[in-house]
Amino acid sequence: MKLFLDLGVSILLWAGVFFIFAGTLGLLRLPDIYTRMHASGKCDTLGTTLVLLALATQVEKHTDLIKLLVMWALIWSINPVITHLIAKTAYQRGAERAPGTLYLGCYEMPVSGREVEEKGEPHA
Amino acid sequence: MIELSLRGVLAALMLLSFLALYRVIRGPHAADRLVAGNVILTNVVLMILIQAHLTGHYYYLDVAFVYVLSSFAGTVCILKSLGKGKLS
Repeated sequence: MKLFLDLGVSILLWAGVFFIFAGTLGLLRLPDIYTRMHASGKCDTLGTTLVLLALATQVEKHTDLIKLLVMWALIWSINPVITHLIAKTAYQRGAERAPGTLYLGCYEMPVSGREVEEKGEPHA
Repeated sequence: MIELSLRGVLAALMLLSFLALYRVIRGPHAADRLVAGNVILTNVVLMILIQAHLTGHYYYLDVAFVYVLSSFAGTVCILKSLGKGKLS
């Protein structure tokens, strides 16, 4: 019985490593900043979830279990936020796209900070 | 068996972090470097947690908390200074 439990935990661990490996492979091989973000932002979150789930079956005390779950929630909320912020900044800075990208120019967001900054003190 | 598997996962995460370091060095833009650094951040957090379980020193979980939160704040600051916002 214990052998099967250990086998299940090992399968969870290596599935997580597989997903992180897929994300890293996409990060290395894809041609564009947006596609690289698409690969790493999702695979990394899922791999982290699987590895943390496998670790949470192994701890003994309840406080450590709660800490692992809070860490899981933190990573799940921080990773998409950071990915979205990096994509927005790359778009505003005009990062080049891979050839063949379907591009609709309907996402030109107004940036209010620059205008206020330029209207303010001139030597700032 | 489970300890051996955990040690293998530790080695694999280290290897994947070094693979992502290629993108940090060769990234054409700063955004590429930030994405790769985010991947390395996640791997390092997982390595801290696994090492805390292997050695039995569970107070390293708090170290992982501080690491995640401070690097989140640092990444947001770098993005604000790269984009068109102001840091203050």
